[in-house]
Amino acid sequence: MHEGSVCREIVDIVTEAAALNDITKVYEIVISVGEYSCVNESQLNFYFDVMKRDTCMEEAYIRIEKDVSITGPTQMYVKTFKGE
Amino acid sequence: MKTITVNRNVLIKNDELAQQTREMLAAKGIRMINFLGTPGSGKTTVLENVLASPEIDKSRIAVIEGDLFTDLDAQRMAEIGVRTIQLNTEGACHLEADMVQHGLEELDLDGIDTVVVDNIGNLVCTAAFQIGAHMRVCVASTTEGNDKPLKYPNMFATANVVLLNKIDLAPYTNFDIDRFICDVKKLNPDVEIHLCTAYKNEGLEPVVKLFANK
Ligand SMILES: Nc1nc2c(ncn2[C@@H]2O[C@H](COP(=O)(O)OP(=O)(O)O)[C@@H](O)[C@H]2O)c(=O)[nH]1
Ligand SMILES: [Mg+2]
Ligand SMILES: [Zn+2]
Repeated sequence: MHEGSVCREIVDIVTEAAALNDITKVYEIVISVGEYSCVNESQLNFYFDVMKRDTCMEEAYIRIEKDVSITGPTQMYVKTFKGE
Repeated sequence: MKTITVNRNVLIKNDELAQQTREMLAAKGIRMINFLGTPGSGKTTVLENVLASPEIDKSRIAVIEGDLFTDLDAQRMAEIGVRTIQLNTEGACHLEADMVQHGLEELDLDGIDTVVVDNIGNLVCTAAFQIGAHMRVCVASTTEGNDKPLKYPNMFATANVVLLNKIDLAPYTNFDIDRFICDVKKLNPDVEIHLCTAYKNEGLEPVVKLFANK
């Protein structure tokens, strides 16, 4: 489901949060998704590999975690990221 | 190395706009109903028959028609005399909050207390993208196969009302109505489910009631 625009939002959210926390290199981004989310992981990774170029996420990868406690229309959150 | 906790909804920009719309409408005493379902399940036929019912005051209702390219459904609404605007997504498979917000700006809301959004036929993204509605009605039909709740759970889990349409065709298919109801209830115990044959105007009384009662 719209992995391109979903990926753009993820990159924007992490860019902003990294700047706020003085992080210049991000290594791992954890996305938590509900049981009913329709995100396609390989498509998301494909877009991410393109969009992360020339950002603080150049060396980062996305890890998707299922979280059954997520209910309702909102099924996808940027949960955490690791960086320095 | 630091771990930063974010916990931010990926669709936050869309959802914040949707919330603005929801509050703006509520402040004007207007409720918005999001009509969802597969292409061809009968969303527009349900609306046509319900809005043409003598119990409905058509001057209080406005329709936003979502369609990829055409205004065919908007023409159907205009024919029954309901205030309608067309939103064309130019190929995008769902409406987003900003499109609906622009649509509402174009629509004359004077005297309106119910706005219906006849969404793009799609069971995936239309469930994920909030538009600012106060209620979701999902129109399914007996020609789609009764596995749809299991395959598209987010749609059925977030609907307030599910209409199972084309009951007239059920005898010609292997659609298992009890199984369908059971699967939907499992996902969404509070949901209202109604069976109807929209094109013969049968079984639509609960929807007429929904529109007539504010
Ligand atoms: N047999 C039968 N056909 C129906 C029924 N309701 C709608 N249709 C037909 O199904 C087709 C698609 O309906 P439409 O309302 O345009 O579907 P939408 O894409 O969900 O808006 C049209 O040819 C309708 O006449 C029904 O209850 N039974
Ligand atoms: Mg239609
Ligand atoms: Zn879509």
